[in-house]
Amino acid sequence: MNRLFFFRSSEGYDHDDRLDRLSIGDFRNTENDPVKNLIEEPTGVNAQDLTKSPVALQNTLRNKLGFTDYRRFVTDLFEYCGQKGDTFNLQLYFASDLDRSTLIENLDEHLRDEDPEDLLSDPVRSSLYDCEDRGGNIIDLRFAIAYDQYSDYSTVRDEELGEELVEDADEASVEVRVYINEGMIAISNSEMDKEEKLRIRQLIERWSGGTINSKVNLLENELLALQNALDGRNNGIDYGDFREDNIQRAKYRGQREFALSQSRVIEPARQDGRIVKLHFYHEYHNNGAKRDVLVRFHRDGHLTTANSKPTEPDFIDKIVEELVKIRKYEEYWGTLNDAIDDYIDDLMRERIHKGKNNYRTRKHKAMNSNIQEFISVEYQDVEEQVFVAVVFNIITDLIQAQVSGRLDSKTASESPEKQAEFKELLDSHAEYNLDQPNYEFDIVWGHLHDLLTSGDYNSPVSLIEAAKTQYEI
Amino acid sequence: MTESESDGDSDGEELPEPVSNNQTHELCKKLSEASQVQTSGSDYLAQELTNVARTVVEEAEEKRLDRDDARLEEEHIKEAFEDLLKPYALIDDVLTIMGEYEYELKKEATRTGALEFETDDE
Repeated sequence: MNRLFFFRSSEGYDHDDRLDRLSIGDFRNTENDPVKNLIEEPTGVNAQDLTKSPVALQNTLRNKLGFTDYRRFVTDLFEYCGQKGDTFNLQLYFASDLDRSTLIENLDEHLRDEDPEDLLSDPVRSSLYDCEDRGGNIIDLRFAIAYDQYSDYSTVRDEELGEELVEDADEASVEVRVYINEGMIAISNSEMDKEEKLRIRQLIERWSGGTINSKVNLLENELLALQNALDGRNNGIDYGDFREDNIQRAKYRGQREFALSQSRVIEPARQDGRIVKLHFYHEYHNNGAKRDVLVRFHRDGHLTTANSKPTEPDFIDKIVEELVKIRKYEEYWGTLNDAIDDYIDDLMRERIHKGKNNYRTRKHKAMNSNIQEFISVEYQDVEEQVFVAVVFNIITDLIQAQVSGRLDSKTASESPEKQAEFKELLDSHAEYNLDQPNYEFDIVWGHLHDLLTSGDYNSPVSLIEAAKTQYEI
Repeated sequence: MTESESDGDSDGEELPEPVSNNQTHELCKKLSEASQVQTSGSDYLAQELTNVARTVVEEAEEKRLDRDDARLEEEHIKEAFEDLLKPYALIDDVLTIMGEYEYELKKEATRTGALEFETDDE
């Protein structure tokens, strides 16, 4: 089986592909039109047959229908309710200044009209054997690459599920989707040799006249904002970058319907480390049906649904669209922890007992309480820190913009939660980080309160956008 | 063996006095609004600060020996200080936790209407 994703629509599905994308339930469900017809028409297949074990059922169908009709039935059933698309294992890169017409010209020049099998020993620059202009913004490319270019292809395993990601030796192509306007590249087969990935990036840079950043380093709040944008239900978090450097990585996996972050077990990791990877279920809608797809997203831009449910490329397009939107507001994703770290040593220098951890805890709780009190959006516990970060960075903007004027809307008299702690946090931030010791807390709070309570925000991004519009910041 | 050595050191040599009487006197004058500062008071402060410094260094030295470090490190001194202030760390921990409970309880009490509280904490 060749691993296909972006080019699935042009390759189509063969019989095995279709069987892979149907469940035993699909065959047994008599409400599915093709199954219903099968039972009602004089095919010899009866309702009793449907209750047989999966293997016995397939054998019975094959025997009673004959080779051609059996295959036609599977095709019909697949068209009716099969899960279209493929699982993917992609590496994303940010790019800029990609030029569409330059790229197309170069692709025309370099496209080889040969059987990909014959190109396997050629260097990647002359092994482009397929490209599709998907209209306007998206261009897909396909290169022939011999499988020995994959590093340790036989040993690459999905560590969580223990299954091999690269299962076939004849896997011999790499697909690339170029998003011209968004400035993004998605390369399939992320286990591919690093050198080879580099060559592909350089090739696309040369052909498009643009630049591709070799390193993707997403902030933890960008990962969370993406999960939020996709309505992802979190069930896994990896932490890294711990203050204590004796520990490198802590991985937590939850039950499917359990909010992992509510567990006290992960609290220490949250306080001491940074999120480096998220696992979440996304409800993917396709062909009138929906299915839960497990997405695993690493801060280095590695994104996979391997071993979960298939999706069509529109899912990646959606992810890219959201990610680009999130990236636009990079300065709002800095964490409260980082802001506190910037001044805590200065603040504590003259104190006999430092108690830095307690200080951080109290300030976090103060911010959390205000988020819980004044933001009416539905969000998962694990995403609270994104709202904390966004609100805190909006506070920074308000202080720096030296907003003035007391708002006399009646709600502005409402005090913040945990006022003493909250004010102390803003005071120290204004004094040490922003060099604005004379800012006025009441005025900043009044504006913030007004902003938080006046809009109906459904995501961190919409909150940022509202603040930017209102204050031209 | 180690103990008798270090005893010998402190018995034999005069320890330096890191905190000067003049400096503590100046500090008292700076921080106090009083027109005069009693010299015996600022001398006492200097003596006690020196005692604190010595105690901390002795603690730190134990940490260094425990870990077989060749040099007396900043980390040893920091940790010695933290040990000295452990009771306060405990108070700080408990206050932080109790503060959170107090907040939650007041919120609950106000929500049910069973009790009335001013929820502003200032």
